[in-house]
Amino acid sequence: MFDSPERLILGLVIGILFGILLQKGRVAKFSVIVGQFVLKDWTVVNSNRPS
Amino acid sequence: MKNPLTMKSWSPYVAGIGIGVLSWFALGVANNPLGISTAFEHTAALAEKAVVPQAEQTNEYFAQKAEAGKSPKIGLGWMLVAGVFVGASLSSWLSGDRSTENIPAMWRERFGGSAPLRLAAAFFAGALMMFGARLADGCTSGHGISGSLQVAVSSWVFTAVFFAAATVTALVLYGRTETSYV
Repeated sequence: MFDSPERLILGLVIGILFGILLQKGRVAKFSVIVGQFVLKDWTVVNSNRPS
Repeated sequence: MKNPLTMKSWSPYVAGIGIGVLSWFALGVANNPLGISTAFEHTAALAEKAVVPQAEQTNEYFAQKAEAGKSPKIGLGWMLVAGVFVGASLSSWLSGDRSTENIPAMWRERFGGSAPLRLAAAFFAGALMMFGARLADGCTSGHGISGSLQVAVSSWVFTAVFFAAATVTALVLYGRTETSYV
């Protein structure tokens, strides 16, 4: 039912970093997501290019 | 130098490299890919088990997952999703970049100013996205980021198809509008 406390905390830390990166990368925004798919805002593609 | 956390945004390349490096860390140290939708599946399964305890015997899902050693649980991946919520909230709060609008201008122009319509559409679209993500065994994070960078064929197929489908859907819903909202 539960992972060990160490793994739960590790997951939380990774998640917090992921959340900060997504917010700073602006890929959590309606205008950016929809703008990408109407081919006007290329933030999403650009932020995925290095990986 | 300005504190990066109080900046409204970073270069998409910086954010992308950061996500890539974090992904190595998640896979290498935690042996867990960056992914979001599995935690939702596990939450739904645990809720089903709580409400209908015999589901664990009658629903084949639980047996299949147990056999694969992937029984639903509150684990690292689940806490990762909670962390994304905390981290993104913290980041938007520190930079004062918080959106309070229920209805984006782009939506309002196309579908009008009804908040219930907008929220209902968002709810059902979210459910549809989650259905698709679990059908594909991954979402834009699990397939799009983690699977793609491990060069998983299924993830590259997923990402191409998902991008094409989303582009067609958005163009049908919104058209290639002249007004720029971005």
